[in-house]
Amino acid sequence: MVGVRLESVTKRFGRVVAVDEVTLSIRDGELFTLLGPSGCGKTTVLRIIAGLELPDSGRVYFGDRDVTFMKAYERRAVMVFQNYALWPHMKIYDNVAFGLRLMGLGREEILKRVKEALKMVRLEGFEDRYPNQLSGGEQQRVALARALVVEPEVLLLDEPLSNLDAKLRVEMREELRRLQREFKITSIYVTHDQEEALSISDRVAVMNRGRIHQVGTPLEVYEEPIDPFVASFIGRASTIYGILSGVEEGLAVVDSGGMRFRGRLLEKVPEGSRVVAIFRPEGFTFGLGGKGLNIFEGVVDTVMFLGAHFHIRVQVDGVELLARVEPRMVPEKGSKIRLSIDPDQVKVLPTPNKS
Amino acid sequence: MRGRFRRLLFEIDLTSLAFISIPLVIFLFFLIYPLSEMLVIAFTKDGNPSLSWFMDIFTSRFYIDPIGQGSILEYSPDYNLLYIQGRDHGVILNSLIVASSVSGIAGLFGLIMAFILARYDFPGKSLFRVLSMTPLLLSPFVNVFVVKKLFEPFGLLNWLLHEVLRVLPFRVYFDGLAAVVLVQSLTFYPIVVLNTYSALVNMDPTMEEQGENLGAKGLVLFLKVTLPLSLPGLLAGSLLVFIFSLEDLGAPIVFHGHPLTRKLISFQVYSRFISETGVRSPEIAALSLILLACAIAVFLAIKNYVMLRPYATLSRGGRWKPRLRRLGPVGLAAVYLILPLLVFSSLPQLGVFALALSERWAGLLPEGLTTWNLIQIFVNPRVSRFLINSLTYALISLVIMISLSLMASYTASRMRFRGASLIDALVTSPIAIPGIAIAIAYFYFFSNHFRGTPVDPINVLQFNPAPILVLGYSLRRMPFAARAIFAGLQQVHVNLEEAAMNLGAGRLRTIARVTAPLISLNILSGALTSFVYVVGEVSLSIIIGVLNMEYAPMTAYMRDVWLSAVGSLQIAAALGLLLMLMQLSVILITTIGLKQRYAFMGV
Ligand SMILES: Nc1ncnc2c1ncn2[C@@H]1O[C@H](COP(=O)(O)OP(=O)(O)O)[C@@H](O)[C@H]1O
Ligand SMILES: [Mg+2]
Repeated sequence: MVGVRLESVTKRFGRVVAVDEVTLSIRDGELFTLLGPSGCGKTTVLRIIAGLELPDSGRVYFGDRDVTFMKAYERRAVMVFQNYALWPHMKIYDNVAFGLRLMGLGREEILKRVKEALKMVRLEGFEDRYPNQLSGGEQQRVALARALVVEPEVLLLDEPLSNLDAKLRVEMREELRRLQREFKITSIYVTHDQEEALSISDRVAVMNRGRIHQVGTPLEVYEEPIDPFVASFIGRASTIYGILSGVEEGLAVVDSGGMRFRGRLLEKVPEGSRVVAIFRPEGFTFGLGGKGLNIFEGVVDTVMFLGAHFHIRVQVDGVELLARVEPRMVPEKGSKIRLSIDPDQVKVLPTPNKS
Repeated sequence: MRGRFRRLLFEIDLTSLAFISIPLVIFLFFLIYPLSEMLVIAFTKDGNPSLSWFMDIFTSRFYIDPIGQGSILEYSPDYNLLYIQGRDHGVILNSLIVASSVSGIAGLFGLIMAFILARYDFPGKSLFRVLSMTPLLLSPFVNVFVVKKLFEPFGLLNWLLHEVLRVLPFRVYFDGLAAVVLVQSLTFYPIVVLNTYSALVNMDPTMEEQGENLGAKGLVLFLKVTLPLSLPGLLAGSLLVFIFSLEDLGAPIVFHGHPLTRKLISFQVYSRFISETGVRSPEIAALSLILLACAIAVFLAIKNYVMLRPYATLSRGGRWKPRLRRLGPVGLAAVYLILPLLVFSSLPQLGVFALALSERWAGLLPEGLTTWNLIQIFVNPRVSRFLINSLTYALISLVIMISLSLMASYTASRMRFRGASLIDALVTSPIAIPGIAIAIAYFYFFSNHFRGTPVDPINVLQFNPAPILVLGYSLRRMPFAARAIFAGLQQVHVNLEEAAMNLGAGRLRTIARVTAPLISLNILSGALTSFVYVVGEVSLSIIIGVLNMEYAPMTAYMRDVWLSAVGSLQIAAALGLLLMLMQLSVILITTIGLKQRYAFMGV
């Protein structure tokens, strides 16, 4: 097993820049996730790592080896495709044995390893079926077994769970995590589902329009997003633009319209520059309290039921805040409400220039 | 520079290199080069570049006569006979007039049929459908003979219409160019039906509904919406008919008794070649080139409108339910009036069937039921030899054709570099190249570069046409196989192949283990289709194949009945019947057994 490194990798399709100067370093044995909206270039990054696509510029390394120009069948990076890509004309056994046969192993050895692999994904006894006789979740697991059985250096998973229903998705992602831990295999996981990304990854890279915005542990990217895109893509957040009017007691003071609030400045910026503040819905408390800082009054605009709790939208001086409310405290739509937030929970960032 | 080389190395491996270069080299060497060489011969006189062969042709009234001679039809009161033959405008214009008339008639008739089949539902529709496709069953020469017999002044049709039903006040006699137009229209119109039908069936029904909403009805709707949208299919079909008519030798040979019939480019090339065998005549090269130029010009002129390629996959269709309406009483009456016409256009096939099973055809109908003819083609070595030759050539061509098609189609659909589509264009190009031109070009090519060897056609005593035939058949029929395989490749998700490469399989192994098995049905149906079209091939067979009858294919035997009066008409019909049965089985196997629906002769 090896770490994977991408250096300034760029790939264009005609005029579309699918991958834009991506530099990443994935550690040996970790589960690394590429998270971003659909069309942002995640699949293309995986395909470049797999050798199915040649970058226009930049380099790919497996450990110390430069594999940029190595063909797909010469690398030991195996991809699990979004559509599973099981061969419909081969039985499950032959699907899984395919890679082993290419390695020139003996019959007995192949039989043993295929059995093991199928057992690992809990599909014993499925050897003689054809892929179209399996459910989506089962096909998914065959695809996984087919990849794992050859003990690749790098496992590439392209939205492996996106075709499953919600319940199965959660089960399978725990399963995946278990297998990955067991094999300690360097894995690169692609998804557009932030919950999935946060729940299984060692580290996450947040991507948009071909660019990597932030790399960090799930907690880091959630707690300390470095720009409004990351903030709004991971979890829910209200982003409020304003001017940094000063720094008092280590806290940034931000003016936005008629509103003034304080927050934690995540990056040094000169006074008077444009900044953006990020409020997580769960950061708010209601009624009195707080230290007299960051207390807002507004009118409830929308009330949304989300199962375990509610979200409300509150209009404060022409700005809209999204807040989380426990079920027993839900205010009426149209009612006046007072809410506050600890300045430590408000993240203040410089506005990215043009984006 | 180094970077670019490494990029190239990444995209290319030994397999893809072979897949690109083998078809390319073969087509360049055995199609483009011979045709170019023929071009050079036609433009050379006494060793110098010269336009003189063309000048001679274009200034001669024999070849081009804008004013024309004779009258299209004549009535002879003595015999109470209307004699329809066509006017003589010189060889080149005659060919163009015939081809245009045939594609015009086939286009109109085909459009009507396709429209009825695609848009209406009525009792007996399946019969209607079968009958409208029957003429697709080829049986070279014999079908023309049957038409000739049926239309004779004292033949079945005149007897029926003039004597029995008395709809015609006189007897009608088709001969000369008119007879050629008649036979070719009857034979080729289903090509238009097929292509127009798939355009109509695949048309988004909301288009027509939109038109109706805006107040267009009936004929207006048809002319303003339906027709323009089905035009690509209609044009593709008519274009093919035009080219097939230009290069057809069957009708001119069977009707060659009339001097006008001999004044067609195809017949001129053929008869001169036959009578001057062994002479490398630049005039024949020039004529063949003119034939080639006409076909290619028409192809290029409307290529932008038709795009032959998409038709391979079109019939997959079924994305939407086509508009199907019940017919009102007037419509029904109209359709049932057309039905006899369809029966009539299927008469050649029925006639071949009857002739093959009879002793003679002297009177109105074939007489004397017998299976002797059919048995002869298997037991009489003087006949079965031809059949065996044909089948052998077809089998060998098949292997070449499928391999090359697989390479070219794979390149076109999977490789990412400019020029990949060029290879695809190259293997489908024989569609627009008259077989006669290829045959003549091969004569020059092999007699020039293989002098004295067994494949030198001038080396009469030792000449063995088999390699040339196999090669020519393979290239000529390549488009059929290539399209079937290309359509299959389009349906295989690239991920399936990438998954294999990912696991360590090189390209060749991926193709062998994943791609090829997944498109095996397409390969099989492409193979079957190509096989029957090789067996039924005419131009090469009767130009190159007959130079040594020992190795001649069966269409050569079928021709001989007319040109050298050896062989038996009934046995030729039996061979025709056998060929039709083969085609019928292939159609049934591919459409019902393999569920492959790309248009058969819709090319
Ligand atoms: N083979 C291709 N040809 C042209 N454009 C492509 C190709 N593959 C991807 N793209 C484009 O590149 C961008 C990124 O695609 P992709 O990597 O598939 O995104 P994601 O997997 O994040 O949804 C998209 O705009 C997509 O349309
Ligand atoms: Mg994707």
